[in-house]
Amino acid sequence: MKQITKLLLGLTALSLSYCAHDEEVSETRDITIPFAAKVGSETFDCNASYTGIGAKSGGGSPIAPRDFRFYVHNVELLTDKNETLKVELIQDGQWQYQNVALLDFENGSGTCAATIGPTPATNTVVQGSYKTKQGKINRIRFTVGVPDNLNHNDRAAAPDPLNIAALHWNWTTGYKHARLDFTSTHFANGLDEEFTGQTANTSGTFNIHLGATSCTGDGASGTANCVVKNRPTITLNYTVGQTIVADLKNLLATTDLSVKDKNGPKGCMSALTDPECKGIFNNLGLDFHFDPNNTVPAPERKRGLTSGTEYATSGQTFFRVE
Amino acid sequence: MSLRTCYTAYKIKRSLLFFLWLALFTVLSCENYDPRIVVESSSYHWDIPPHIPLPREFADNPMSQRKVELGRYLFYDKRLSGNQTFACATCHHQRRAFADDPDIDDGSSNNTYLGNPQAILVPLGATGEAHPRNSMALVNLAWQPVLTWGNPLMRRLRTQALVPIFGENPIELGLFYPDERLQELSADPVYQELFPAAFPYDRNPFRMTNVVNALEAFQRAMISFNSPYDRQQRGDVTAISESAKRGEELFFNEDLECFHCHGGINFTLMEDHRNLSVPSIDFTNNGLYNIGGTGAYPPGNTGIHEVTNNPNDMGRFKAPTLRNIELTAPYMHDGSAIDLDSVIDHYAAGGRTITSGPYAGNGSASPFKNSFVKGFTLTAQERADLIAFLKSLTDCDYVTSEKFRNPWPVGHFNRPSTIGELPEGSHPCAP
Ligand code: HEC
Ligand code: HEC
Repeated sequence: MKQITKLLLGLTALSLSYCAHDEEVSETRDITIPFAAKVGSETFDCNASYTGIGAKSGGGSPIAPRDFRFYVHNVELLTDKNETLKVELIQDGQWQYQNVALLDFENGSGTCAATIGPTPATNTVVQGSYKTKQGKINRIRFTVGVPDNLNHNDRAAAPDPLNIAALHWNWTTGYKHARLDFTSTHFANGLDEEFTGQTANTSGTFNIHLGATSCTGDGASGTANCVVKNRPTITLNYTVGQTIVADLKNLLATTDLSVKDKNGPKGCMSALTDPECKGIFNNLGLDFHFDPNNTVPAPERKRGLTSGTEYATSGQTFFRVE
Repeated sequence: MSLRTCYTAYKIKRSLLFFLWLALFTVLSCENYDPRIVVESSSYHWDIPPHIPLPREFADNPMSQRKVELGRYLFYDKRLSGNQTFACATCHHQRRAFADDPDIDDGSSNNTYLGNPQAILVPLGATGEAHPRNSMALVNLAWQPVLTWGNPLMRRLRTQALVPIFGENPIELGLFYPDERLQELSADPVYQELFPAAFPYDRNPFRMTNVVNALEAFQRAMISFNSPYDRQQRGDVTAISESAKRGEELFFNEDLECFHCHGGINFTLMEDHRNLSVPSIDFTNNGLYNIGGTGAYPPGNTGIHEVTNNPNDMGRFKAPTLRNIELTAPYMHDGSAIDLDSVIDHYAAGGRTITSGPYAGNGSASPFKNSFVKGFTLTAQERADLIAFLKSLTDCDYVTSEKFRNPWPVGHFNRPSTIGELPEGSHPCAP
């Protein structure tokens, strides 16, 4: 008993001294990080339409927006002295929970009224605070999506912003890390016989749903494990006050929107058999192992996606700083 | 940390302080315990024959008669769909053991489905989108550790219910504004009584979690153990015909091998109850497709492979229960076998051969096919006997029981009439 008390006292002293040391160099600062959704140089707007999108030769294709929502987590600021400053998010009970924030640019008006579960409310910022450390902030790092530890919770009982039906794949018991939907009149070319259950694509729908795939385990007790995580970690040169821009035009730069959709749902829903994911994944900085017949042995297929906890990206073009 | 380790931890108490520390540690580390482990019974009375093992109780959703009652109202409520045209019951009809009923023109029947030449019937959702898979019978789900045709992650009814309610690929019920709808439900006098009764400790019982918990409770109470075959098992030797008895022998012999995949209390490989330490879960490929000789199944319908992306999981599906199988045609995950005769043709050939079209291939030569599907020959009499056995699994009490019928008053928008509720015409349970 005596010894334990001693040990406890020792531990307390140790942690106190650690805190004291911390305080000497560090001060807590609030930060608001603005995000913007764009289509090229134009601001994403549910009441606008855009031309010249995608890789169709002779100037791309027209699109009308439907949805633009994505989660980010683990937001960090990096300094020129290579210090990492973790941004603690404000727990606002609506857009931010633990280390996850939802960015929502659709407001349910115009052509976005046709998405699943449109909401008038939007959120274009991540808000929190960080503890200063040595050096000047010159980069920002964040990961797109809902992290593993929250990905397989009980969605019906989850708090905001993790309880939105349109942002969840109930069948994998995991979230859509990003939902970027639109329509294109170039894309309205008919029946896709190759996918059971799809009717004619007269609406020209092209849905981009990013989420973790290749899952095993028990989805009900939160222990499911998806090995292809599809959560790109983005690092950008950044000074406090700048805006992070997510650009749909860049995301689609290598996708020809006038060719017939092959294999699987319209657009790209993260399946390894879905050819429309190829260019889009690369532009997110994700290593996409297109595998039309799903015959590639698992280790090779997962190359780059399983090392470490998430897949860190360099070649992405979706995000930039303005 | 398992409950057992937690318990052992509790037993160690050398000093008070140590004990307190440990208790705190234990509480913290037991946070993620598996609710399945808790087998303590609620006061709920399971209406089952004595030789059937009790289903598990879930600590996070213990059974109660009041939840069952609420779940029954919800199961038949069209307000669970976005456009208020569909309920769970629109695709799951009692007189078909809760599989879809092709004879009822309620919007879910899809006899002219074009997308897949092999698919004879898959349901349409509330907005007219075709489902790639066939509606399943809902029978003895309390003993099912894993749900739907081919999703190894889907372990609980309350998680499964979210798929038809919110799923968009395809849209089934399409309820995309749940909060507004729950508000509406909370204004219904029927629910003003049922929700608080079912969830008495909840200050606001009108929540989606409670909706799916109640649906889980109702579906776990949907129990069928009174077929002629069950009665024969319980000692009534005259309950099934001599032909069915011969069919029973065929079914359980090493020539036909059916029982390997359709064994156990519910004639399926999937089984769970309180006497099992771990649930039995096994998905199998029964040689339905072998596109181009690669073993491939039609895209979008490749079984658990769709979820795991493991190439060896191609075409592995749940071998569903054969209880009430006579009532649930068409068969297989895509509804591509129209009757029991074509099912037997399939197994007799050791896998199905499709001679032309995009899905052509010889299923019996599939590299992924389970070796118990090896083919056999039957005389006409033997075939008739096997079918007689399968038909002895039809439980007419189940498909006519008042307990599972639409509870809304006749004339209510959830029950405009009683047409199609009870067996009629050539239905084996017709009066
Ligand atoms: C549009 C038709 C449709 C509607 C509406 C529908 N279902 Fe289903 N149900 C299906 C289909 C199709 C399957 C097979 C799904 C699969 O394998 O992907 C299924 C499977 C199931 C299963 C799995 C059974 C088993 O043995 O594994 C359960 C449980 C179920 N449904 C319950 C419900 C509930 C509860 C509702 C209402 C909230 C509902 N269903 C609404 C068509 C429907
Ligand atoms: C290797 C395991 C296996 C064996 C052996 C087997 N089955 Fe099956 N059975 C399955 C699987 C898996 C399915 C679902 C396949 C699918 O939909 O793709 C199935 C489906 C069925 C169905 C359709 C069920 C429904 O609800 O649509 C019937 C009927 C059936 N089997 C009867 C039999 C009979 C009779 C035998 C013996 C001649 C038999 N099975 C042998 C695995 C097996």
